[in-house]
Amino acid sequence: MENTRDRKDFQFLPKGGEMGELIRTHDWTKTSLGSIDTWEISLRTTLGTVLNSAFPMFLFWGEELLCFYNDAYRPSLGIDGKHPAIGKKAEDVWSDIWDFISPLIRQVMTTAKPVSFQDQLVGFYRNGRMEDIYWTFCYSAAFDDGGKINGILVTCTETTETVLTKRKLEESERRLRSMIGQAPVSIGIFQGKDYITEIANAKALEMWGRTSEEVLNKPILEAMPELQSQGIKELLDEVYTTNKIFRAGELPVQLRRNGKLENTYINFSYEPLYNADGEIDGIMTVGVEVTDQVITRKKIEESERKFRLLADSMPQHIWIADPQGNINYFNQSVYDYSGMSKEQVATEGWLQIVHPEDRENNIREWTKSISTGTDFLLEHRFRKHDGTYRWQLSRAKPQWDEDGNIQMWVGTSTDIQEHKNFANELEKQVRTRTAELVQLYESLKKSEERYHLMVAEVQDYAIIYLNRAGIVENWNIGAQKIKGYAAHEIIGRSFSNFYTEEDQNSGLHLSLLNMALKTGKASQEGWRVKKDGSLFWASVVITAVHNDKREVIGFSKVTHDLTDKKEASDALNAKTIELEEKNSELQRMNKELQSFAYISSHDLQEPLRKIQTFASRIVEKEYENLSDKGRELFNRMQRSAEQMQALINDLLAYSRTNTAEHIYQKVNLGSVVDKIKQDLQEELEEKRAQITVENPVEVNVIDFQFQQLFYNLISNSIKFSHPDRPLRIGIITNKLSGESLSTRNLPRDRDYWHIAVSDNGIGFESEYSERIFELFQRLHGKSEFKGTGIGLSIVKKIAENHNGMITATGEAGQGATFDIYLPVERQLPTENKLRPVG
Amino acid sequence: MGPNFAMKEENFTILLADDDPDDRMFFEDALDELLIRATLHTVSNGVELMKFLENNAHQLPSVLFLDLNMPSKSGAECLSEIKNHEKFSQVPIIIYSTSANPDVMELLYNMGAQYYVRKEGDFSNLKSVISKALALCQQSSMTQPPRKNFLILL
Repeated sequence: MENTRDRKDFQFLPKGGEMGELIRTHDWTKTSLGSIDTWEISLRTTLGTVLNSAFPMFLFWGEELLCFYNDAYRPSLGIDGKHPAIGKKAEDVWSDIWDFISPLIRQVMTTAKPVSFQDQLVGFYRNGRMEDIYWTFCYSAAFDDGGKINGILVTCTETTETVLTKRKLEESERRLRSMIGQAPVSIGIFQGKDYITEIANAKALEMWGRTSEEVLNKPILEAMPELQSQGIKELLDEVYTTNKIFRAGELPVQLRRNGKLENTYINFSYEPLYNADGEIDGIMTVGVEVTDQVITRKKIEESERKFRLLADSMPQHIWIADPQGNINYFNQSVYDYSGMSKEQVATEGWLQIVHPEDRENNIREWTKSISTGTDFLLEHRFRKHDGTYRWQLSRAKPQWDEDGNIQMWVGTSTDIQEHKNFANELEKQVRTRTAELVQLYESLKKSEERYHLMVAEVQDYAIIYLNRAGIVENWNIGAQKIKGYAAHEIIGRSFSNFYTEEDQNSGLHLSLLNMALKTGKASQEGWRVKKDGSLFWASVVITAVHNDKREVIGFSKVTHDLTDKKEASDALNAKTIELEEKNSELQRMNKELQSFAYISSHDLQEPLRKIQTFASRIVEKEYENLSDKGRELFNRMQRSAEQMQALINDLLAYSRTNTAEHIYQKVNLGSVVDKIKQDLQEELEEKRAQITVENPVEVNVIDFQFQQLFYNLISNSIKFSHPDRPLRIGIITNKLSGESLSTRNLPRDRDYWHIAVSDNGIGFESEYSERIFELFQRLHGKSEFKGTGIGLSIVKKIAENHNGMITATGEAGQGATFDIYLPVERQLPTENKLRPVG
Repeated sequence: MGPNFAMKEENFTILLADDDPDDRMFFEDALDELLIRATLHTVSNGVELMKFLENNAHQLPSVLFLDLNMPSKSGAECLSEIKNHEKFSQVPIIIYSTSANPDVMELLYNMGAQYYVRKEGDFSNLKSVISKALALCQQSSMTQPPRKNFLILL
């Protein structure tokens, strides 16, 4: 076999792979080359190189440009394509691209200069279709054994994938740029440490307030100098050095736009950009301006804050619920009132505040409002923090949106405890009053019935109703009994029938009716006439009867028969007169008795005086003739007589204070004392006495009685002066109101002189302060002090005669004080006039 | 007691109207002891007094000592009658009484009495006041003294 032989003969083929085998087995005899063993050495050498290369290679040889290629080239021909093309003419194989490669081949064949292409599109048929194939290739001349160009050696690499990948990359970048350019957010890319602006999309330029010329390829901080003072550089540096992404939300930034600085709020990020070596070489910023949103939100926040402030300052409870009825807001008042914290209300629920008894109703009403959208209105009790419950009036109204859906509920609760109390009280009062009125009405009804019965049945009084003209219209049993007429006999007749002819003539009955008409009432007592003509003593009261309009429509006339009483009264009057007569007789007798006291004491003086005269005669004429014993007895007799005389004098003075005429006159206290000083000169000198009168006022008194009063008081002081010291008498006067003397049992409606007479005598025990004024009371034995025991009784009598009083206070061994109170203004005398006595 | 009452005229007559014989005696004794030379007439009541004056109208007493408390006609009545009498009204009247009621005294002074002499218990005092009264009466004759000097004090 030729084949076996060929294998032995052609050393360039054995390692020629699949293509080497194809060359060996190809029938070359029908070609211009002839059988392999005839081929030129240069061809065999060149083929050996081609077949042994791992790099795709192709060879055109000979005049017919027969095609050779190695295994590495084979894939480029694809499936169902030009393979196997070994040994075929180039023009046949590459007919589809012959126009392109033919000139190249001629050029190399003639010039011997290689021609190379990079990524050249040389598409041809393979894989069942025309494919666009990119090549990087070189056509170089191949020489025959004679050194003549006899072929073209093609080294090539298919770069279709590389080219397509590169194309895709370029497309991707183009798309990215387009995307950045059209992005709805602002995007910028800053290159290098100087942050030179490489990319800034329209949004970014708009945000920055710059044109692309102003920023592109310039350091951004130079293009936007206003950023320098706002910490932006520091942010960029931070990202650049740490490689960490920086993100900011609503960062306030001032940007110069349209020539002026504007306050803006921006959400943005700075992201590091890396080069192929993974080193940072730029920063990308992506941002959105949110100024309007922030401002709007801030406005909403402010508005919300104001609302809460307002709501919290309201005394009412305010609450807001969502459309489902869940309360999601309470104002501060709710927390303050309930004492519950927000958390408590949120977790335990607002229903805790509502009185347990009101909860069920509350839920029912609330649910009804939520489901129907009608206003919520309810009175219920809320628990206060101190545990008490107070009534509240709660209202809630739905808030509708434009579409007619409920947005929320706004509710208030107002404390109505006071109203409630008031209303309850009012209600109670109305109930009570109503009950009272009903009762009153019923009792009135009964009372009226009783009244009619009573009036009809009254027997002791004639009760008659007269119309305005005085015609009898009603008549009771009493009237019949007293006046003698039966009802049918008198009704319709004038009441003048009851009056005597004389009274009728004088018009008494009409006068009484007139008076009742004018004043509402007329009463009179007088004689009236019965049916039988006899008289009775009547007590009559006529009262006007009014209608609702206060007009007089008639009269009620009540008549009582007082004939018996009149007789009794007449008898009583007679008795009274008799009594009065007896009384004045008694007074007369009393006067006489007083006169008798006066006269008898006067008459007693006569014989006493004569006894004294006789005694003095005996002393003068016959004393020597008496024995010693006789003289002593005689002296005792004289002393007794003196004592008796003093007694009689005082008795006379005492009785005179009763009987004497009371003539008041202005008397000066100082003059009174001066006169007494004269009268008692000797005694005062003997006691080395001094009398001082402080404020010697003028008093309105009965002169001689007043003299007597002081005479007695000063005599008393002299009589009871202290043996070891000179007598001092002080008289002090001042004016006092009756009110201030309320304890003294004196009329309070007038002013009083208070005259205090004090001495430094022997005084008296305070227990005797009342007794010393009693008649014939003596505190000391007769042997110690002379006295009749009448002097101070006279003083008291005189003080009382002046409508005044006297009190005494004393301290044994220290002195006594007499306090005299006399009205400043003269009082009417209470005693009768004196009848002169001879 | 020295005679301080020197009578100028022999016919000085004193009339004493007093119902009490003892008092009349004391009066006479007093005049005696005072050594007064005067004619003393006495009457024992008001009626007698008036009768005496009627009978002696041509020679009325120089002075009348008039007791107040007398039966049938009291001293005050007599005083009133005398002072209202056209002939007797000039007779000086000295009230001669035991009592010393100021009201009564006031009344008598106003009725025209000249002096008021209290009948003193002590005889020497009695003499003294009678003497004073006569002396005063002689000095001042018919002129009524001021009220404060009406009562003759010891």
